[in-house]
Amino acid sequence: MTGLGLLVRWGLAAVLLTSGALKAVDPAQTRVAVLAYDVLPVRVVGLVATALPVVELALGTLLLVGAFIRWAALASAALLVVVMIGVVQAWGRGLSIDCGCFGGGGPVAEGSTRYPQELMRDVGLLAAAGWLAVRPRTALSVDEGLRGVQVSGR
Amino acid sequence: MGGAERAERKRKQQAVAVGAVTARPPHGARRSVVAGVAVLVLLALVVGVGLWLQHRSDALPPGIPVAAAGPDYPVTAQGASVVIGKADAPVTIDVYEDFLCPACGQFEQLYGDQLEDAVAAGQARVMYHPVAILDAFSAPPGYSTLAAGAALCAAEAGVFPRFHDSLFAAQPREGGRGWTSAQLQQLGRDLGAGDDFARCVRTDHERQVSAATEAARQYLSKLRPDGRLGTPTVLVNGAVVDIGDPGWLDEALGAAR
Repeated sequence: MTGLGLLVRWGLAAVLLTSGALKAVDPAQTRVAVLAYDVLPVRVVGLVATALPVVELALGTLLLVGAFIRWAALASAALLVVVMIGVVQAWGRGLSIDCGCFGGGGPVAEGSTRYPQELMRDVGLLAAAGWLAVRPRTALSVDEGLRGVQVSGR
Repeated sequence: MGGAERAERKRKQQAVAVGAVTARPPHGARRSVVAGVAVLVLLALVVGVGLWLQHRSDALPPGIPVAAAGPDYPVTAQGASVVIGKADAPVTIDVYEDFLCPACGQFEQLYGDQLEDAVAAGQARVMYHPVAILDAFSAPPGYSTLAAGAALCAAEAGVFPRFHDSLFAAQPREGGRGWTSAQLQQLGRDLGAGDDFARCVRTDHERQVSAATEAARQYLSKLRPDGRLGTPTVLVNGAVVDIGDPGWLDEALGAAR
């Protein structure tokens, strides 16, 4: 069971690290992507665009090494929910944007949006994060290593 | 009997509890602390790398490269527009540009030199209308307005053509860092503008540029088929032309020949 959990954890970690890194290497595009959701005031867009990749990288790292798994999973789930709300509101308002989930992003030609696919992917990732929040005990984790110490102490 | 058993179990439990409190936990706690610190250091490292990556990719060169000088022609500032060429030139070309707009950068790359040649030859005069519709798309926001204002200052200081060309040749990316006020002032200095220019750039042009942008929006809404203010918009003798058609400029100039 902890082996399957490990796969889920590393999968989610890989997604977060990839999306964080792709955003970090192209801050201009990330700003355009955040701006395209047309939700945040212009002054806040820069801050969010700077913080978002860093947060993704941090959560990805925690999940990769398996530290504070439950909290990292819950934070990832919260992040995913926020992103999904952003996509849904863009869809609902008829904006034509790319979610910019893995770099890129920003306005796209009308008719070339991919909202359903983006949301399905987010649902999948949300399920993974939920799984880990409920069952954070996975193999090869810092958390488990420390638990081992306490168990052998008794 | 049950009592003795219970007492025995209790004794054992206490021993375990005492052991757990006195002997083991310091060991476990130490490992926890070490692991916690290691995780924190790793996190700090990752955050640092993330911020560094962003900073590195965001950086503009320290100064704005100066574009080569073009041909000579008269330049006059007219309110929030800049006119290059002689007033009696047979063709009038209006160009509405935002200094951050990528399509404007392409337009300048394709037609900038040809326009200047036509102006120098007296075939046309070009009215540049710097507008700001992409203020939100720079970091910090407002580069479009800053650059438009500075371009008007450059016209007053007599360095408009190369100032304009330099900004389009070294155009910041949409969403990226815009050139700062100090860098724009330095570009003016590099082009030989005096202190008045720097002072002018430091003046807030927000009101002037937004008024000009609004006026352009109103004016073009009647002329453009989509009724919107897009950049670049080019008019030849007052009529919108399709600059996607590569022959538009020859056609415009040919009409005068």
